[in-house]
Amino acid sequence: MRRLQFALFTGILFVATLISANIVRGDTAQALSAANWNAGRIIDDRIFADSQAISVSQIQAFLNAKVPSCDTNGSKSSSHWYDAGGRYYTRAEWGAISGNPAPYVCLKDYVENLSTGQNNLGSPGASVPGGLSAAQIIAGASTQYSINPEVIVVLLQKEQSLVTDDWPWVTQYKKATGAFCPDTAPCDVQHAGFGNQVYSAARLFRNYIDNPGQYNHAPGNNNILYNPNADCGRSIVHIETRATAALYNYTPYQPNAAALANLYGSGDGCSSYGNRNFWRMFNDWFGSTTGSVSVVKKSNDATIYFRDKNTIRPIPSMSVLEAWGFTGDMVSTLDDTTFNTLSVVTPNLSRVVKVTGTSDIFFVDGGNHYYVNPAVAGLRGFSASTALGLPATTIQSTFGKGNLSAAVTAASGDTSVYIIDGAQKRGFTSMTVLKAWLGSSPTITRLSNSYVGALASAPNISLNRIEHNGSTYLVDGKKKLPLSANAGAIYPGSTTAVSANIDGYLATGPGPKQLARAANGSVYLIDAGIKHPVGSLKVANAWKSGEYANLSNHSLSLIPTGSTWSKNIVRKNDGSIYLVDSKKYLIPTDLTAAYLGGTTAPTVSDNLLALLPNSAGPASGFLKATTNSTIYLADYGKKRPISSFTSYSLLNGARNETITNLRSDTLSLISSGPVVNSLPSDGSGGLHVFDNGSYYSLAPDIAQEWQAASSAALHATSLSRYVGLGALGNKLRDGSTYGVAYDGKFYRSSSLARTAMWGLNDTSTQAVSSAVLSTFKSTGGLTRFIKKNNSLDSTVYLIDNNQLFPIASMNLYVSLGPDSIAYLPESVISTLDSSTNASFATTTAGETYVFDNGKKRIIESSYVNFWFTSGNAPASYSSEFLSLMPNNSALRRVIRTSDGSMYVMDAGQKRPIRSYSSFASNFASEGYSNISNSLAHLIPTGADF
Amino acid sequence: MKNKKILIISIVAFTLLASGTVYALVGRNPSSGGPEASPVMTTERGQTIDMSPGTEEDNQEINEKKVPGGMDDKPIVSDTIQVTITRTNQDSAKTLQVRSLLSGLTAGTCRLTLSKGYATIEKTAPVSLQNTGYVCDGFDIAASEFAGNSGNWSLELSVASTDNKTQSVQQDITIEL
Repeated sequence: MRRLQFALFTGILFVATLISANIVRGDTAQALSAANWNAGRIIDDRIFADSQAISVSQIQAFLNAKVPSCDTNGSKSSSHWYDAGGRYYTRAEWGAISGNPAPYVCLKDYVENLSTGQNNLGSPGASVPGGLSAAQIIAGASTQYSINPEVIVVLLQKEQSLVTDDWPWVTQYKKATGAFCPDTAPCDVQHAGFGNQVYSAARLFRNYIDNPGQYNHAPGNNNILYNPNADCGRSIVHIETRATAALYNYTPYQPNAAALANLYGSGDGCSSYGNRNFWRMFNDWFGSTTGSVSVVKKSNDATIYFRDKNTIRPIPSMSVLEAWGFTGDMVSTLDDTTFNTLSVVTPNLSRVVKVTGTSDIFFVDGGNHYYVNPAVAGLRGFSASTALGLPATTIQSTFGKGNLSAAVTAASGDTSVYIIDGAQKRGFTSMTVLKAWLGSSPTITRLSNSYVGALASAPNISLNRIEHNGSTYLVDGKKKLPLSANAGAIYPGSTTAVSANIDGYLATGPGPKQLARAANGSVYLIDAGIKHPVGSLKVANAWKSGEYANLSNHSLSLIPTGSTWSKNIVRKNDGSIYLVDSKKYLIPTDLTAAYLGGTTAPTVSDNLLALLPNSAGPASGFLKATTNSTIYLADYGKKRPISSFTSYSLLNGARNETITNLRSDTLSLISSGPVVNSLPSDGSGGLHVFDNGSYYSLAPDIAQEWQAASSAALHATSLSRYVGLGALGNKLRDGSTYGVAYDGKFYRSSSLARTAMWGLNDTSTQAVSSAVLSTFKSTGGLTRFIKKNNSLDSTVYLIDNNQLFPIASMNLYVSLGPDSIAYLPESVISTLDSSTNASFATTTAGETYVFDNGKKRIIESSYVNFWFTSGNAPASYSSEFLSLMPNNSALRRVIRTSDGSMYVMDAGQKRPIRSYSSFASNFASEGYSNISNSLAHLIPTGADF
Repeated sequence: MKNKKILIISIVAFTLLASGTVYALVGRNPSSGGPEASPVMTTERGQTIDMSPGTEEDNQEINEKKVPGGMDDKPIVSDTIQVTITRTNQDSAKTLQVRSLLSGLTAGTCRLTLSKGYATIEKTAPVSLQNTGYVCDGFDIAASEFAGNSGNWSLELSVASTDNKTQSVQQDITIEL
């Protein structure tokens, strides 16, 4: 017993626990209650007429969700018992008995051709040519008659449960919306069928809304029955909205208390459910049928108020009324009693509002609200300080449509896109202009026709140049790019004056200059209103001073396109020529040909050139890359590498032209020519030697000595820039250095003695710079001996006084030498006198010398006659030559060779002395002189002494 | 021994209550593994749409009609005509609009009689169908017909069906001109 008591207690406790849990969870709570029912305001006009509330796909998704699985074949059990079978009939069996056999097509799968009425009710899988889904039909009717598709969906459910029925009968489709189906009479067959019913219902609703006065129910006081049976009673209902009146015109009964007391069930015999169910289903599926706001007026008072709960605010105009999504037809006339319960607040309702306590501005139009960011607020002249502060819920009673953009268009009809400048609209003449202004994907807010239409029209915007307060700008992608006077002159088009609003809306970007760059990297040179595609990055860099103007394709497309630009040498209108390398170098007139050659520089505007800074000085005839040491000579449109710095010095010299340093890219734009040096030809056979910035000309024979024939030609126009100094020979001097050029080799010496031997002196030579002398391929010293460079002739000559003396023997050469031998062309040697053979002795300045082994030995005057006779007189070599020979001891009459042989000179011969005693007895008092064997061999031998 | 039983009972009771409370609290929060919230679809405008499947209750009424003849159109069963004046109001042009809802007939004639003293205005109109109900096909009496005679008027609406059944209603209205 106690166990039973315990079990019973425990069971009671368990049940109590479950009950308590359910109370806490509140699962049975209903969102909607009878208290929410307002017979005069079942649904608001704005909601009822919102034809774009949901899309076709959303309608389809909704229908799919409501019937996840359609019992197409009726295989589920019905609720009807089949006695013979001892089971419930299947739906198919029961449908067949009732005249509605399977298959069954759920609304989500229904297809109908609206023109023919053909549908798939008899064959769910069959194709219906031209068929539309139920969702498409609903959306189509909604759009055509401006009725919320949700209204039609609810209508289909409250009339025939078509939305949720998973085995609907054909009969349900025939009178799907109950249109033209009297409660007390058969349906009108002319309006039967799903598509027909949907379109009929939508059309009826639209008629009821547009013309309420023509029908039984209209906003205002109405006598509305509870049931088709008038004996069930009626009540006066003050209908507040046209949509509510439309519902009553469609179904002319209101729920009685019993029906409201059981919202999801039945009432009593006098109940009706049509409008109750519509209200309930809409609330359950799609949310509230009423907004928090409405528009009202008082009887006999024209003032229209915006009602927000229990406050009303004057609406200053129909424009504002429509902005909030209302029309004049939606204004509910309140009876005095109701009206007097409301508090009037000010100021008037506005299109420009903000959430109270914030500075977030919203613009209201067409029943929508748009957030207005600060930039657009400035453009539109909106200010948080003057915007009407409203609760967020009030603003949200309109549909949020995102941000208000700078560009707007009308909802329909007028396809122009405008930017609203204060209270004016300015149309863009093309999408290109629009996109140039506001970017490639501009957001365009679609505002009501009435609002856009009412705005005053200012001149259209046909270009992206604006002016405000004396400043000119190029507009690109919501930015204004300041145009200097010169930049403004090279960009095309006229300038449109804009207001401070537009000026302030546009952010300031960097001012464009002569180069504009597209998003794809293409660079254009702008001039005279034309954009020229720049042929290469090198050209672009040459013209680049500062940054590129990065412009949108749309802005660029507003600039006409010209020919491709590949030049950086241009002509100004006054004829002056400039080289452009981030700055402009004036090319002096005498250098024009050097830079342009035979071409013509394109003419550019003065404004374009003015955008480039001036170089420190004009362009010179010499060019160099900043990154390379090679110096170039500008020569008839080409840059010619100068072979050496020496050549550059010779070419420039006293001209003192500066070298124009260019970036290597820019330099590369000038075509290259062959290397040039300071010995150029003139292209017509003439050869020239540059020295100190001037040039000499070389006669052909002299040119051979210079060996300048291989030098590249310099254009005559370049040569003409230089001063010609006349002909230049091959005997040259540089200060104390004298020399002569032979066959490309320069023989030189600073020894006066040697130069004299070669006949070089101030008179016979031309003064040139040492640099010129250094241009010779090789140099040599001025020697005493010369030989033909023809190996077949071994004659060696002594040169003295610019005369050649053939040396007849090696012994003589040894005596006169030693010294190096200059090998000269035969042509040179043949020009010199060589008729007199060289001698081993000379009488110079009254003294007679004999050359012995490279030294000079004086012969005492008393012995001269023994050494020489009139038949073999000594030569007369120059004192300079003589000075080159070192001294050795004087020679006497008796000479002795290295082998001890002794001779006595007599009449120009050497007579052997055969014995020492003979010497001793005859010449001991004179003594003897030792001589070389070479010299000894040069003296003829006579008879023994 | 008795105290021990009381103790055990108390423990069991506490445990059950506690578990019930926990179930309730946990069940409130869908993320805690309780019953899932109804599926919804949110539109671009922020509207939340219930996407839960239809229920048996949703289809109960229609299923009850799914019997032989259950969906057939209903014939008129009333023997009497019923007339309800749904509204009488003057529009902005002061035209009087008199609208009515009828039952018990599908065709016939309506007669509107307005009288004030010796003044009488009479109008007739056919019975017509306005979607789901039959109505007198509109009585619009222009302000001029009242000849400046504003004030309270007596209104009588009489309806006669084609099978000679009749019905009439009366009411007073105030005319402002």
